[in-house]
Amino acid sequence: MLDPVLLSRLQFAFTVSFHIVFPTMSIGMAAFLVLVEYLYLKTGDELYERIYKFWSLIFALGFGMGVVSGLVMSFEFGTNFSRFAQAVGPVIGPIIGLEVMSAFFLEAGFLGIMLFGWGRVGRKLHFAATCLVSIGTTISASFIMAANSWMQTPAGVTFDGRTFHVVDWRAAFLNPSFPYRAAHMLLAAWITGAFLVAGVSAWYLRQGRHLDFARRCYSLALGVASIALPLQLYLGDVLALDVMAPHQIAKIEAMEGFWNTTPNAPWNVLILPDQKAQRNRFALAVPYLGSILVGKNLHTPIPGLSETPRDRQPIMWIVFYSFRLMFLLGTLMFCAAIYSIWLRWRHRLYMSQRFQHLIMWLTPSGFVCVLGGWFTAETGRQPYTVYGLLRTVDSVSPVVGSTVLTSLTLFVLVYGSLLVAFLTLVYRALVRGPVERPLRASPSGTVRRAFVHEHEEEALV
Amino acid sequence: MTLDLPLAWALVIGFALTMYVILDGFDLGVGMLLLTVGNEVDRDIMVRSIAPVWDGNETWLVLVGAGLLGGFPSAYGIALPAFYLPLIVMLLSLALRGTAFEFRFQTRRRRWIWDAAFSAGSLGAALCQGLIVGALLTGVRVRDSSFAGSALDCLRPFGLLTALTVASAYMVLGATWLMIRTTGTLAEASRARARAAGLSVIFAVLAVVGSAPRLAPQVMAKAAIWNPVSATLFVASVVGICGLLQNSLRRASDRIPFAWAMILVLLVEVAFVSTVWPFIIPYELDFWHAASAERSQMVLLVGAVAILPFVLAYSAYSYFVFRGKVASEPEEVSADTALPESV
Repeated sequence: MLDPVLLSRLQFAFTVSFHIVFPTMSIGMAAFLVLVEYLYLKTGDELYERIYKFWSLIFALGFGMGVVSGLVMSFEFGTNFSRFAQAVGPVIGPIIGLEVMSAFFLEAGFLGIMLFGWGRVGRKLHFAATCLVSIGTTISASFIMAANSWMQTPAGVTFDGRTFHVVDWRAAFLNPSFPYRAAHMLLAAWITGAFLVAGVSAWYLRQGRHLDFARRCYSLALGVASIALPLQLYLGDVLALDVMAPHQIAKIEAMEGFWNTTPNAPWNVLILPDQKAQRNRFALAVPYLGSILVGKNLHTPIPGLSETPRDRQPIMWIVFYSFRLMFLLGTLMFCAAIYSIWLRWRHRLYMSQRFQHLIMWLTPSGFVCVLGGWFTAETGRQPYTVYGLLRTVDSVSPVVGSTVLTSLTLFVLVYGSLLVAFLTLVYRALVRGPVERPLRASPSGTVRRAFVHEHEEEALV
Repeated sequence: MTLDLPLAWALVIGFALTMYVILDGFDLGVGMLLLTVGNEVDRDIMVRSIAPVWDGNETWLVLVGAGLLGGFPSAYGIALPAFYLPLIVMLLSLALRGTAFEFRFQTRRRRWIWDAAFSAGSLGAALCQGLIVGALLTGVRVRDSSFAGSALDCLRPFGLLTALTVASAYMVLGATWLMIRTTGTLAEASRARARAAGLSVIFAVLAVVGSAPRLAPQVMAKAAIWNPVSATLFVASVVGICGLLQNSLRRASDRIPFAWAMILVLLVEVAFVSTVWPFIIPYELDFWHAASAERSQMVLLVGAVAILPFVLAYSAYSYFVFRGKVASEPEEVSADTALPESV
């Protein structure tokens, strides 16, 4: 038998995973473009104009994918999770409605000017359009994080078993996990954009192409990463242990991979969990590291998933491995960002070939971490859609399995083709690279100091 | 006097729907007409005439969706599963349309593939929207506040006729829009297509009204406004407006036909809404009973009153920036247009 619940969940997971990649890119790239255009206006250096035009092309490709896959999301709540929609509509509907009115229109209204408006509007107005698009992406992410965080840590409502009623909008919107999760997501987007830009620049540097362009982008992007990653690591720690643990201990239990509460806990690297027997068939772990990371000392006990009743447990392996993926890759990115500060300090940022190689391979790392993080958050919330109140099995639409299988197949085919086309076109745009000749004569011949370029001229020698 | 919140929010959704139908209507119309034009230069002009605005136009549809979810969640929860298949196909069609916009400019040799996807996506989206209109007119089966029919309920012969109506109306909008934004042979070709699409609207509306007693007896039985007089009046107005449209197409003006096209589309939309009124799920649930809690609708309404005027202002500004005839070559050479021949 085709299970409509499982198929609907698979379809939602597929479409939302596909979607989330593109807004992440849009938020990160839009912020980067604001920075670049600001530097362009301030210094008048035409290199910034070339950087802007090149990356805005990549931004536009990703933005389009985000818009169309986002449109799908706003209807999929209803097509596949209609009972969820009926129950939470009074809470989530207004949040999404406000998002559409305040953010989507803003992005759409000024995107045209941002992409096609060079020459039609003045430089300052064009910069304003870039800022407004970036602000739009940020507002949009904040509203979506408010809605999603409300599902994680519901507040400000009463539930009559059928529908949620808002009693306190402030509490519902500013629910306990919202500020931390929104900040975590925005930082993730900036980091993702930074590693994308840095990775592509490293690729050019290694090929010896577009050197001035690549150096400037490389330096800017690694500068952003060096600031954002330490913050992100700290924020992630606070989010998991201080914010989520009191509300959703089961998620933390599954993330750490223990069934029984373990003092002097090791840090699990590989486990083979047996959910039925409530034990790990196999575990590879680093002694004491678990307690150190969780409690900042050697002895802090880590709670096990058996503490949570079985009918409220998420599936351990998927939460565990999603989290490990994000954590390990994030740590590697953190080390790379810190090392870039060292290289910059030693005036060797553009010279270390091995570091360029690493950064090149880390190009998609932000996207992978974002997906890992979202899988941790969303599968760790199971078996609920609204944590503790509305179960996933009670959320789905009265649609039969074969219908959902049809739509899932269509989604895989269409999204698959779009992704192949997107990656091909982006790859070819990257191979073509930025326009080499100056688009117009540079008003000033000097490279002014900006942001983190103190040592650039020396390093070029 | 107290504010009738459900009515107020229904009016906002109606406004968003009208904006969508007119604005994305001409986008989709241009998309459908794309493949009827063989000349590549002309196709580029057609796409560039809508490239800076399509995203904002489509956003009105997102507002309709989110407005239903927040303001009328029980209706949203019934309607979306009921129209599952046409909705999913519509969303995928719009996905093809929206990505083809960006992708076609990134390639020369394979541009025709994306043009085909653009056209097919536009046509698919319009037809699915028409199918949903037809399915709404014939009514939705509901039990215990849930959809109780089958996914295939919405695929009926009557739906094909309403789909034809919607697609033709969008084509009239698209062709008359192109008359405003283009010159020369493309403008003349658009004029001819506007004529043909206008005739197609008359034919489709006659078919819908004429076949309703057989194919959609629910309309006769349950729609309060439906009677021979109102039906005749409706058909007569459609024919009249189409006549005025054809007349304006014969004259030199390149702006007046778009105005008639908008009036035509508005007329069809008003006829549809007044037929199902006051039901939000015909003929089971009216919008007062589908309404969300007062607090939720109030938040939405305050947001709409505070924000939508700005949205309209800067959307109008964006149209103003990109006004005038579309040049055959982009004014500025940028990375996306400086493609080598081999790509």
